[in-house]
Formats: sequence, C-alpha cells, structure tokens
Amino acid sequence: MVKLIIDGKEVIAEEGQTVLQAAQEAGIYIPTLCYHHEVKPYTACRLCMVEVTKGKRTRFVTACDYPVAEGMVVRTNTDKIQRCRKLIIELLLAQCPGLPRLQELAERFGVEKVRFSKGESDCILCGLCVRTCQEVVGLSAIGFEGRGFTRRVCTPFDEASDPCILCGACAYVCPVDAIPVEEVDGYRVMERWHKRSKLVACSKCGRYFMTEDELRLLKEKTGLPEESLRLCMDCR
Amino acid sequence: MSVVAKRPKEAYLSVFAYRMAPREEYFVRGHRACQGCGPALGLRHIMKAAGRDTIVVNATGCMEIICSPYPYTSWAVPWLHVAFENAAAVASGVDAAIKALQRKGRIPKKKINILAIAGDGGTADIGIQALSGMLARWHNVTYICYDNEAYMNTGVQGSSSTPFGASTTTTPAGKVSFGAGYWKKNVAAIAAAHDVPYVATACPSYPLDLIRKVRRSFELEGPAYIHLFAVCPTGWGIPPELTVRMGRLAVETGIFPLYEVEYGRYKLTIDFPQGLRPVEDYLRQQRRFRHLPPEVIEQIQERVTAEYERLKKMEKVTQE
Repeated sequence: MVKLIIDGKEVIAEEGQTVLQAAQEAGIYIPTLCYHHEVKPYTACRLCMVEVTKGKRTRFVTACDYPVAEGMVVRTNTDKIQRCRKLIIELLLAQCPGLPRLQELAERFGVEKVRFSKGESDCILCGLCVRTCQEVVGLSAIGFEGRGFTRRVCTPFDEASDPCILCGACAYVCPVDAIPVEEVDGYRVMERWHKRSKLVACSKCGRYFMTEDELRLLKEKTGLPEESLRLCMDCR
Repeated sequence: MSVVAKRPKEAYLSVFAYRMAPREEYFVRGHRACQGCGPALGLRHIMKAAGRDTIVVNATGCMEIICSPYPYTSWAVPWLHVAFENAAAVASGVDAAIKALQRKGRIPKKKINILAIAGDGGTADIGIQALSGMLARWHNVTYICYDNEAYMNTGVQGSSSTPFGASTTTTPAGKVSFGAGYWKKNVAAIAAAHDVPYVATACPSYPLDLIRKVRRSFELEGPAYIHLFAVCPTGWGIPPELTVRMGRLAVETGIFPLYEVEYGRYKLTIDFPQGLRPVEDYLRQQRRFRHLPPEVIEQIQERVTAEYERLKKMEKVTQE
C-alpha cells in the first residue's frame, strides 16, 4: 500500500499501480485517448500528462505509465497542465481536422482555433488498434508503417492480410471511431484493412452469425467438428 | 440491395470486442436475484456504461428488492429507493438539486449522470404520468425501464406490458381465455412521441449494443428513455440457462426489435437481411405461452410482421 496525494486528496494505491489507475479509483478525471485497461500503456497521445512532485523535484509525466510512490504529490489540473492539454488537442486536431470525437474534446477543453497547418488524416496514431490486435486478439494483422509524418496504421504491404478475421475489436476500441465495419450483402467489410469476409449462415436457421475467417480461427482453437460450429448460438 | 441506414457495429461484433468492454463493476455480486435474472444482467452492463459519477433512482420492483436486503447493498454508487410510481419525479428533483448546488458552487461542476430505473409495472402502469412529466420538463435524466412483462416480484401478475396470449396469475389461461387478451403497450413509442433527444430499446443479450446506447443517452443533453427487454426465467417458465438465448430469440423473431430514435430519426440497430425467425421458435419454449393454439400464434405472427414492417418504413422515412 502506497499513500500519495492527488489534487489535494489523499489516495491509497497498491504498489505497482499507475498514477492514472489510482486517480480513476479515487474518482479524479484525467483525459486519455490511447489508454485501455486491457492493453499495456503506450503513452502515445500524451493527453494524460500530470504534474508530479517527488521530494524537491517537479516534473511532467504521463499518468498512464507512471508508477505510484510513497509521498508523491500529483496535480492534474494546474494552469500548465491545462495549457499542455490544449496544445496536444490542437496538434491532434491539426493532424485530423475531420474527427467529430476530437472536435467534442476540443470543445470541452476550450480549444477555439487551430494555429497549425491542417492535415487530412483520420487517424491519431495512438496505436490502440495495433496493440489490441497483438495483445488481445493475438493475431497482429495490422501494424505501423513509415516514420515521422509518413507513419500510419495499415496491413502488411497495404493488402488484405491473411490472419485478420474481421473480428472488429480494433474498430470497437478506436477512440476516434475511425475504423468502419459494415455488413453488406452477406459480407463483412472493413475498407480500412482492404478485407471482406463472407458471412457464415447458420446451417439450420439460415441467419448470418460470424465470418468465415472467425470460423476458421474457432476451428483451429477448439478442434470441434465444422458441422457443430456452423450452427448459430441459438440452434446449437 | 442497399443499406438504408448504417448499422452501428456494436450489434454484431463478436468475441474479441466483448473483451474490450469496461471492467469496473458498480452493480456488484452478492445480490439476491433468481438464477438467470435478465434485469440484473442488464443492470450490470448499464452500470459499466454509466460509470462512477452516477446517481441511481430506483423505483420499487424486483431490482430494488434484490439489491438492498438490510443492511447490505449491491450498489457502488449513490442509490435512492423511491415509491413505485415516482422514480421519474424523484430523478427530476435530483437533476434540479444538482443544477442548483452547482450554480451556488457547493459541489464541483462536473458531469453527473442521473439514472432512473423502474420495472415495466412502475413504468407502463403506475409511473407513466411521472415519466411523461419528466420527459416533457426536459430533465437531464436517463430513464431505464426493465421490462420483464409482468409484476414478477409479487408473483407474476399481468401488467399493461404483458404480451398478447401470455398466461399470468391475473390473466390465467384455461377454459375461458387463452391468457392476456390485450396487446403489449408500446412505451418506447410513447416516450418517442415526447420528441426527446434519445429513445432506444435494448436487450442484455446484446451487451455491447446496450453499453453503447446507455453511453449515448448520457452524451446527449436532455431526457432519454431506454426500454430494456429483460428475460425473467421464473415468471416466464424457462430454464435459467436460456435467459440470453431467449433475449436473442425475441430480437431475431422481431417480437422485440432493437432500435433507437435520436432526435426523431429512427434507426434499427440490428436487422436481419435474411428474414426474421418465426415467432413460434420463441413462444413454444416458454411456459406462459405453452397453451397457445395455432390460430393465436398466427395472429401474433401477423402483428409482429406488421409492426416490424412499420418500423422499417419509419426508419426509411425519417432517415431521409
């Protein structure tokens, strides 16, 4: 057990927890974009920046990966932090001006105009989809390509990637809703990953319930005969 | 075939997406619901979506009884138990109090979600005028009706939300009648008629969809109504392990279509391009419908198909 002070409030946290986790448990809000409890912290978005005082030294750190320590004083809403957040949102908004989620965030934190030249991207490069595919799904069907301002998330060689099963976990976690998934004419389509997979119709009732690729993975993992897997959950 | 409206992805994503849902629990274990309780399952997902900064106003009913046997509680958030009829009225008061206290600077200015929870009896029969008043006064409250289609807590008496043909203790099936002789009251449509920002129907069998709908209801400024279809194994006469399947069957047969109405625009959140299941799949597995003769089932089928068609037309008209 570690005692620390966050925004003047004494918080008791467990050893090994991060500042963000301790703050969330105490009900103190720290904005995040690239953080998700199921994957390792990545510190890509820098939005969770807080001011930490340890002994005589005060520094700016990212709350999502900074471990708590005894006697630490954390401030999450000082003027400097607020300016820092505003700048980060402004920069993100300059990179992706068309994202409604970012615009909402900008409104909430009082970012009025963007002073930088605007890009055309719709991805904030937080890497949450990449990490989800790697750590949770375990397939690594997508990854980063390029460096600096040419960096982007894509499938290998920008072609439909074989391991991808179109499970949509990347689309679900995306903090700015930039990965569309659609089901059209018996196919599940993810334009961003250039992939479409035929939907499996239940052999008894004839309704679609998963994709061919998901079925393939299920078969590999469970070793069950295909006939039983081709029945939907309600017909089994 | 073209898609009329883009369907939200949450309705059909599968196994790995579920693992990314919120982990925190604010409606915690240890409550005294029956095995396979649908409303309790729904509440758990609702509280995951609502999060920590929530005040819950709970009308009398199953969910109030099971979670608060003195001196215990299942709620990890502030919770008020109110009378049968006035969950919406008390939630309006909570909203007004929060506004006043924030204006005077007594509590910090941050977003506090207010959730009113009542059963179908507390919504469709007893609490409907309080609900209507709350929606009309435009309070910033999300009202959730968990609909288990009868007064289950007191021993399965029929409510106005009981479906046609269901046998309950006040609408018993026998020589004289075949169960409830009236159609289920469409409370979601009544709420939508108030022109509120958000009205939705949801089911715990589609948890990601439910979580998304609850979050959306809090995002929009103004009142919201969510009609939660909650399977009750005890009252319906099904084995408890079939709760989730029964919820899915109700959606797949079109008996309880999942849709949302955002500022008057209808959208079916899950649609079945290959057609609906016959209602018989759903009805014949339940004790309360076991006595139904084929002609009544046909009558129900006709009504369900017509309602579903009407909903699709509404979607087409309002999305344009």
